[in-house]
Amino acid sequence: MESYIYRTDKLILDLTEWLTEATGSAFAAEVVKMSIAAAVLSAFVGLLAMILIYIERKVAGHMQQRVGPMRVGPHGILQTVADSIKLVAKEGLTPKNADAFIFNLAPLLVFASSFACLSFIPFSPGMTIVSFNVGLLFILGIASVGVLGILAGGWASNNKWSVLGAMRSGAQIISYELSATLALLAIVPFFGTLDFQEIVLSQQKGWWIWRAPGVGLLGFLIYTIASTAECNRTPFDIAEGESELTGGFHTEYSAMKFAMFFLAEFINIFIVSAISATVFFGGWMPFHIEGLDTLNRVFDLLPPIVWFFGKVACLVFVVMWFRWTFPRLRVDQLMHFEWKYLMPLSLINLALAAIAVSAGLYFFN
Amino acid sequence: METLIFYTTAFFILAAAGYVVTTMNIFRAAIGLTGVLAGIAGLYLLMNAQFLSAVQITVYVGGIMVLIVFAILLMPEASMHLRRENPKWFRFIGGVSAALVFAVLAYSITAFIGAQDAAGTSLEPAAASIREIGLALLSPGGNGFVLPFEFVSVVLIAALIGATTIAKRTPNPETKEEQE
Amino acid sequence: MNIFVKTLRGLKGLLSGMGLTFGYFARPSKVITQQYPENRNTLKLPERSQARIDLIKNAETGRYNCIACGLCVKACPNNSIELTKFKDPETKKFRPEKFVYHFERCLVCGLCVEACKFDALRMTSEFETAAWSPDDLVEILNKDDPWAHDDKSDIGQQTAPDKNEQTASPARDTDRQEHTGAEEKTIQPKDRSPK
Ligand code: SF4
Ligand code: SF4
Repeated sequence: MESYIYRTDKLILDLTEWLTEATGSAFAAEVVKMSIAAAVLSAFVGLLAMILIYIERKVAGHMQQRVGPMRVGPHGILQTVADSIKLVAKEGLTPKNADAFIFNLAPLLVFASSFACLSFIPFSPGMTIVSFNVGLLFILGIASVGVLGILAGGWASNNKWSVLGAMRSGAQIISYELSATLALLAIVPFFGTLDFQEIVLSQQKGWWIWRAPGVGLLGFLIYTIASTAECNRTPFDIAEGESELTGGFHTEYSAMKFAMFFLAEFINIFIVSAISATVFFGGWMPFHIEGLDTLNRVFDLLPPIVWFFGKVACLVFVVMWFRWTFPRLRVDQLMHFEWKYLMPLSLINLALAAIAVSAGLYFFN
Repeated sequence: METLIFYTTAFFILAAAGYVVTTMNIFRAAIGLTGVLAGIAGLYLLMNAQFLSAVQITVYVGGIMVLIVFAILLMPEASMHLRRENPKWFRFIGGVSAALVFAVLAYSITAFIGAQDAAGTSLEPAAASIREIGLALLSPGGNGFVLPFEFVSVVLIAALIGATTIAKRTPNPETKEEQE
Repeated sequence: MNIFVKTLRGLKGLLSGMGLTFGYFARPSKVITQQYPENRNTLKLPERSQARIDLIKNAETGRYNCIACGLCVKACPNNSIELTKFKDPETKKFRPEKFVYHFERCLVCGLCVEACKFDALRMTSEFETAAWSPDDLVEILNKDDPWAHDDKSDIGQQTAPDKNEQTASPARDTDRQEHTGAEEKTIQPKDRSPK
């Protein structure tokens, strides 16, 4: 039982075997497995969003010498639960002249694209819900579908501020997507695969952030900036510029539909941090230093899933830290920054990476 | 089972495509088109062409569709329902051209299958890895596509430069506007 | 070259900002938020917090510093202060007969304190001033003077300049007496001693 925590790949294999025996066909086993995965993932998403929102508020409070929620439950831990109940119980309004079909479809689109991305994340050895040989590419593709939902939601609200917010948001997301993708692509030649599990396995000797000479660090920085912008978070939150746009594309949304946007936003934070952790920080791979066997064995004591969530938690914290420190950019500054600095930089990074790979310049070979 | 999935997906694609051409609201048509393109990505997946599927989603759903939607958002007419006001012969011409396209496609597909059958090669889709695709794209040899690849990049560069030129703010000599 | 210098300087600024916020985050002792109803007994308000005004007493003589000049009455935008004065036969100086403070109209702006040239007025930090009726908020500030005791019945017949005769003085009604009786029930801020 205990070894299953460390060897989750074995757990999955055994589970598949047992299911095949129990149901009598490989296909049925697959269906059951997928249903379990979907159920677990749904529960995970709800829980994750609640925890993230609570942590966000606490972090925000303490970074500003406040305390965050304190009233509901000890230290306010039940605050998000109460908030969710309130959101669910609220009336879902559709504006009178809105395009009801698209208005209701948009949050689903946004949420579904975030949710689908989760199924590619390698949580632990063998624990990927969909294992593709082009997982990284797929996740980048699906993530960009969310923009459509945002644009559709803004348009269908029949509110010009919503449309403006949606267009700002869309322009920002597609611009910064380029840098984020290029930053990841610069690292891809080093591991020579797009399968997430193999990416993790390729970092047995050391994480790519320092194994790839310089390129890894630069790529990580670019990806962090660009992905923060992609999630529409401060300092890149002009899409929600509250003073001008009253919430941006989701102004007209309420109750569950709003909750979906909100949920998707927090899942996106998790996803970009998870991608970053997987690509640059070795995913579930424990921290190893070659030669120091005792140390390595101590690190191995922690199960991979703890390593994974620990790394993701650190990265999420950094993103929150950004949010509560930096002032907001103006929309033209935002575009200038992306197209005049970040993009060229990531292209240079890509070229450097190509040179480094063809010259065989790795560390810890 | 795969057949069932195929028919469900295919039905979804056809329904969405039908919606695209029949709806009178251009934004809804765009959303329908997204469904079509995503469905096609699903079909690729069914054929084990994961790379193609990923590219389909990235380029068409995530790229082209967003562009189209953006264009729609910039049009003031987008929120209006269009009225049918085309003359009859428009529809006639449309029907004829659709039939022609269908005929050509049907013919080429059947001819292709016939040729495959005659040559005795299997119709099973070969799962090409990204490595193979990449090598094929960049190798100059007989199976290589390096020339078209480079041509495409030249075309794209030309498009980019053209777009920049159009979008460039023409400096007004009188006001001497400061460009940042 | 310039751009690199600029970038570095910008990065330095961002990093120092992050350092600051992390410093706050890592030291919960620096939190300023008060958990108010729970820590009511240990509540410590910042020195410059402003709430209702009060008169300052001279520590030696035990008298109020106020010389009833009426500057505060003039300064108040809301006409919250009503003042009647008399000449003290001992010192031959004016003293307030009744310094009536209409807290229900006061917006705690502090202009009166600024206007006072005689260090006779201050802002206290007593904020627990809830009451059942606006009338309960009318208060006589020089209540330690024997002649000013508790009798608010003639409030409004003031000699001090009044900007707006109609609204300046609350209507005198017979209920007044009852409410004055109820005044003892309103929360009386504890700390009333001068600085
Ligand atoms: S604080 Fe302002 S409103 Fe209140 S009595 Fe003084 S001057 Fe008037
Ligand atoms: S300004 Fe000062 S001294 Fe003059 S009446 Fe007001 S409180 Fe008294």
